[in-house]
Amino acid sequence: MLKFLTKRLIQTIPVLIGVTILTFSMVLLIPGDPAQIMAGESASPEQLEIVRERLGLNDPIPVQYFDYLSGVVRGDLGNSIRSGRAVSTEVFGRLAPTVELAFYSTLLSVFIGIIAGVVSAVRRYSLSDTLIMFAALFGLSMPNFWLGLMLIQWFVIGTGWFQASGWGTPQQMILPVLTLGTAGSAIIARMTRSSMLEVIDQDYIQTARAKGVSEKMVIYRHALKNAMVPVVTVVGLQFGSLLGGAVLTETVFAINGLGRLIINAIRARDFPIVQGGVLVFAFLFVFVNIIVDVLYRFLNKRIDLN
Amino acid sequence: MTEKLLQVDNLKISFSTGDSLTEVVSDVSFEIGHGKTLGIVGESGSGKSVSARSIMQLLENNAVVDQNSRIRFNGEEILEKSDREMRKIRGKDIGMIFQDPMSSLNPTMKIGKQISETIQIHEKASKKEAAVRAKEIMKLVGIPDVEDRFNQYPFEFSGGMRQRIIIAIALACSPKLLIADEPTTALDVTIQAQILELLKDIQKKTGTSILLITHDFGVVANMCEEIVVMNKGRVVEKGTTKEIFSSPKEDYTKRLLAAIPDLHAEKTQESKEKLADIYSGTREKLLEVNQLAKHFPLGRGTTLKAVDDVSFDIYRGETLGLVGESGSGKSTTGRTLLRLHDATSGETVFEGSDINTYKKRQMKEMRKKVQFVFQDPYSSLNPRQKVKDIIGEPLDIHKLFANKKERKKRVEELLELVGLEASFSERFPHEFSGGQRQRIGIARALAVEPEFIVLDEPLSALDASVQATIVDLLEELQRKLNLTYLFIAHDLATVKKLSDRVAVMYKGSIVELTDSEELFRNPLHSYTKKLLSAIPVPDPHYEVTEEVLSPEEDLAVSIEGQSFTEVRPNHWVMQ
Repeated sequence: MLKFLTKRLIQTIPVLIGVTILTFSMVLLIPGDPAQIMAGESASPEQLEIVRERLGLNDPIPVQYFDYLSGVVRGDLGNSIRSGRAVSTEVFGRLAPTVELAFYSTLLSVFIGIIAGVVSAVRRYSLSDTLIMFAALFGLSMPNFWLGLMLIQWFVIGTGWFQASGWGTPQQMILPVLTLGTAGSAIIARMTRSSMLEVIDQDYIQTARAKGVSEKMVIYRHALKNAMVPVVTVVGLQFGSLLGGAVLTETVFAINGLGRLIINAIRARDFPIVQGGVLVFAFLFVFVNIIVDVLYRFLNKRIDLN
Repeated sequence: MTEKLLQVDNLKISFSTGDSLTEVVSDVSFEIGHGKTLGIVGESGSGKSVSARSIMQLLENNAVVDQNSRIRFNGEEILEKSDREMRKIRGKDIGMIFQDPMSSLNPTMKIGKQISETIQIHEKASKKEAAVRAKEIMKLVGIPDVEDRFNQYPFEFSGGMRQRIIIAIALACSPKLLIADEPTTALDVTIQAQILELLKDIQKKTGTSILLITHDFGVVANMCEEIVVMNKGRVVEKGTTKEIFSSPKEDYTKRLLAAIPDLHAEKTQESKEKLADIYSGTREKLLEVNQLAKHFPLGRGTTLKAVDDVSFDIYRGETLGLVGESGSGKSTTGRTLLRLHDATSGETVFEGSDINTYKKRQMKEMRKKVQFVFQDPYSSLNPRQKVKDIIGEPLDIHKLFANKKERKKRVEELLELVGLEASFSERFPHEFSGGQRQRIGIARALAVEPEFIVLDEPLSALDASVQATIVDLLEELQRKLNLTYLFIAHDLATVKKLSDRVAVMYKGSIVELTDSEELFRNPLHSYTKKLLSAIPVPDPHYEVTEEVLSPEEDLAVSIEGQSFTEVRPNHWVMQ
């Protein structure tokens, strides 16, 4: 296991380097002169030159990249243009609500998705199957910012049970988690259903039934673990898109997370923050996928061979 | 008279599809005494498996058992039992063995747990007690190193070993009845012999009754006291094994028995003349294979030598049989020969030059003369293509027609050539039976008017009676079109029928090569001898020889450091 983890971690190095190349290129790809954007429209040529010199924009591009990379390795992501504080301080200060939001949403969607998918598969073509699959389709096709607004409309303005802004208390957290977790629940439910249906048709399920195993245990002990193999992969990918979805959800629910930080930085053209935020998102995504690989390995013993 | 262990009366089962009911089993009755073995023999679709499953009440949800049907087991009426009551019988009083050992074990559960689970369910045993019992049973079914094996997963077991585990699961609670549904169909012939012997041995030790379901008369002949022959959901004939084999009453039974290829049949005059030509050197050499090798990297510096320095010639108009068990490298040889795999070393000389050196254009030329027919008629036809496009595609690629009308005509000719109707060209593959699909596969291979066809196990997915018709078709096509075949198979009997000469492959090497009559009459290599003696003989009086029954490990025959030599005229052996 340790060997596998080491190998997997070494494999991520090229991926992470690729990510830094992309975040670095973002600044190059912005139309116009980055120094102009940062210094403002009214800056004089002298001021521009100072900004350029300070940012190292006069160096050849490879040199600029290596400066950036060595900064990333040391944990130095530059300074925010607006606040002047270190990007790493700003970004990591906002990280917790976003990760919590994505994590709870994933938990919710795994919980709802797997239960709904299993029920749907076991009672194939029944009324509950139809209803669950209809709900899943609905959940999947609904944009989550709209769902967030509707939830605010009903449960904040309407009943007043929850709060529509901030992060920390259950009253603040339930609606955003629900908003972000709905689409995931739907995807996982559909995935679980089809995976489960495939497994139920396998010969070893017949073997289990022929042993006299009760139908509940056939599903729980024999089918579920095998059906989870493809679902785990989806959950990992899902977590990544939840990070993206968090940007919208945080805006709707006014949560001071990383997503909102990035959005505000984009508005203010605070590019070091955008760059740092995206980099942290990408690193998180890679990290989560390592966890998924470990889980996958645990579920599917055959991977041990390789 | 004491009551029989199992008595099935007027069993009638229908499947509901939409609004209509289709009867799949009609008025089936049979019985099994204590400690006896009954064989149900039938081809696919005969209703034999459905009948067996109904005893366990393990039918699909859309199956309906008629009210007048009776299944009495151990003095109780099975069909009146609730699911809860049935669960106490399943795995305890009736154990079931399934066909495919590769897919019948839970891939994510340890072997030991899969066996002890049954014991825990039925005997209220603790985890520890169940494990002890499970290990005993693993020993009983011939698993070596039980302590280590107990904690392994199914993927660490070979096919034969997995089938032993499945038998162990079925035996875990000492059932009164074992239902074995095609227990050896997916296994190699030498493994099959061992598994059948294991079942007999277990019956002797435990006194269980066995219901053996199979399509193979060779398997029932020396396993069962009595046989039920089924066809299209009905019992065609019942009787003792000796009666059925010596004096079958019904035409259907006679036909099935006649479809069993005879290992001792003499070859035709035509084949003898071919052999005479080949041996005297007057027949043209079509293909010369010199020290062909194909190695696959397995990672970490190890390689699998799937084909290791194989040499042989193929003469125009002959059929060379290539026989071996799974993993022997026979299919890889066929594929490497046509450059579906690139050879690791060696050459295949076709029309004077080595095809491994061909450039793209020459390859395309070669593909026109050399074709391939695949094993599985279900997966080798594109389900979204109409028959006319499946057969027409090679015509398109090699531009073998002037206009659409000509293409249509050619497709229809090809369909008729393989014994199908011209009107089938507008249909999709799923509308055809396995045998018909295999004919479509053959028509596709014939479309480019090839000289040489590699037939990779073209019969193994088909019923025996269908196999016989395809063999006839292949022989007829060979005569009509002067085709040359490389016929790859694991089934020695059909190889004998179709081939002029036979090469036996074992662990990537050819261990014996001679004409088929000589090979069956006078096998010289120890592996060939084992292979031949393991074939189940469709004769109830036949006794299995001891040497077949050595456990899996002992079967390994060493061919290390041996060379291929001509021991007798035209009889080559690795020694």
